[in-house]
Amino acid sequence: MVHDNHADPATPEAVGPEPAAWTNWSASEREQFFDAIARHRRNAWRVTLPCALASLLLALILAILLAPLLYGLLGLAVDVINLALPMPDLLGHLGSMVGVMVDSLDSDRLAPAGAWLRLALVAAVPGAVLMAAIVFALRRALMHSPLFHPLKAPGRPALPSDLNEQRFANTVAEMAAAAMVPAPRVTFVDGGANASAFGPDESHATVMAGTGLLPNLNRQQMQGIAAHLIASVADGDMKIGMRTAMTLGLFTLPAVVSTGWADRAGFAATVRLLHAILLPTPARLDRILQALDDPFRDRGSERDATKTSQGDRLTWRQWAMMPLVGPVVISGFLGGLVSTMMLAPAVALAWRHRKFMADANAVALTRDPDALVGALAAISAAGANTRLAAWAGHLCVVNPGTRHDASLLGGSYVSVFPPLQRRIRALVRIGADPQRFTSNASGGKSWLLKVLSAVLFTVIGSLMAVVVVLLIWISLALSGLFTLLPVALLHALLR
Amino acid sequence: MDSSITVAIALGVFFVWALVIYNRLVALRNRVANGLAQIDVQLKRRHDLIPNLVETARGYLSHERQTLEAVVSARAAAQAAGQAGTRDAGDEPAMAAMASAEGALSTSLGRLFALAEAYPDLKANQNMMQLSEEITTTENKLSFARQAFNDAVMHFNTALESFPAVMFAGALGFKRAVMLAPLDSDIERKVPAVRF
Repeated sequence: MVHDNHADPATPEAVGPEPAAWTNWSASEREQFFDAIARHRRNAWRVTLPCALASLLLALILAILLAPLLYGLLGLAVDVINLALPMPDLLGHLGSMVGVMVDSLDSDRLAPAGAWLRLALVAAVPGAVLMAAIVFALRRALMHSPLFHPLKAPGRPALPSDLNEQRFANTVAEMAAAAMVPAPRVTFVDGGANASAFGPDESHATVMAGTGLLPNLNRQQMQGIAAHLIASVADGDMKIGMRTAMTLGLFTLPAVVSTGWADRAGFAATVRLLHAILLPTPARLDRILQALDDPFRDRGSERDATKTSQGDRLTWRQWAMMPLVGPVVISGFLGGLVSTMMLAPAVALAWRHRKFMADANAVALTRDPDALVGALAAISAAGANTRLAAWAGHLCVVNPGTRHDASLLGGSYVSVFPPLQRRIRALVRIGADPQRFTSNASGGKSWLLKVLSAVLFTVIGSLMAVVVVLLIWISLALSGLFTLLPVALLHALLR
Repeated sequence: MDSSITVAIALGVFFVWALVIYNRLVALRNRVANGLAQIDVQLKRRHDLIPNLVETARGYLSHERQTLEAVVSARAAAQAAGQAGTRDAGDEPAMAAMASAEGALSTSLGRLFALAEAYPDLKANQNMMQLSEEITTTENKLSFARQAFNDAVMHFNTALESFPAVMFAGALGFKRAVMLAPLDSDIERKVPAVRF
């Protein structure tokens, strides 16, 4: 039973395993890391499930807010066709349906909850269809990104002449054998001391390592890194990451659309984006990915240049977009706000638990807690640049250190990586050498930090709740005034 | 009327529950079988590497024919035992025979690499360095595949003996799987020391 744990880091050519006695793990130690995996998994799902529910609720609200515009357009289209071909009066039907409900608000007898629910569901249908289209476009765009498209991933295979690179590729294959997943492709790119695993699913995974990684590690530590990556592959992090990116993107794209109506440049960009969503080609899909980067990134600088002062008079463009303000602009802003301020940080927290879980799983695969701890310590001690391809940020072993360290996961103000010292502490708990753990952070400070952040989150949360309700009412009011009124006028003219 | 609906719902829930347990057992059993197949793959790979190793070493170790021949014959024995042993995870004697033949192969490989220590030319040979990394990784894959197999067996057996499953799993033809014994005798436990 060779795990080749004791190769000397000072002499990289020492390939050989120590013929030292291989000791079985005692039952209690085994139990511990299986327990740790289960605990981290529970923690991750505890955050992920509320996130999923909140996303569903937000999507439903946005779909309902879009209803006046979409039903208006649909109804007017039916009216126009009606001029040539007799069609049912969709708008009249819907109007009477809403009218009954609104009347019941004034009278003493409120309509039953079931009727309101039915109205909400009917209202949400076209918005839901539109969102499904956006999700499919996003999925196609993501599948086309280097993250999921095997041919687009950069990098070269291990050089036959470089024993170290071959050794890393071998340790990845070893860990794949330990996790019973197919051995992933291993590529190397010019980059810092970091590695990531990505791909559409576990049988088409690619492990990418920066060339800065290997000089810092011995074989045992390479095995630890490989084990973390394979654990992440075997746990389906890639799929979960894609779903998360799709969910966040679903709320980010409308925000991008909502900020880009007011002027010519923004309008053109928005039209291109909508074009890309509806009729995707590879080049257009890249545009979606760029738009996902940051919904509220300051695009104002270029906009200010084109904006000419016209006093208080509204331009024709602003008049033309009035019907869109309520359903698209305000609700897009709402979606973007909630996803950036609340969903993305929560997702980052869940992702941290998944990192801990991959660490614990790596120990389960190598049965050697020192392997990963040694590698993490070596990378942080070397102070090496850990930058790797930005699109693979959330799947890296250690924080790549760029601000957009997880551009696909929202780039929120909460990092998707737990602090290295906490990861090392978690590994020490499941049996790693405590010598590695060098943190001198006092317990009191972290306690204070926890209380402060809890207070901060409560304040932000309650503020957000108020803002969300306000935005919903503003959106409904503006929709009523600027969307439904013109639609009703046109409807009256056409019928 | 109401009570019959309740009974039907309860039966339905029970049926779905039993189905879930059954499917889980099947999945775990397949994982055990897959684990065994993976070990087989790694053993074959190990057996394939040995002729290369012997060829590379032969030029340098002309005076150590005995050791080289011991490796070759241990490989042949391990190959034969492997064919019998990897057919069924439940066949304990065949599995034990395979483990002992592989252990003997490890021992003879260990002797070969210990000998190679004394030949600096052989140690510095580029081909030999590549081969030793190959053999190291194959040995590691083998032990990790064994570990994965044993974990799969543990999960399968735990599921099999847990409460609801234990009542009907036997009737449905699920048998306990056997873990691979650790290579526990002193000779077998020695690993080829690939030191360069």
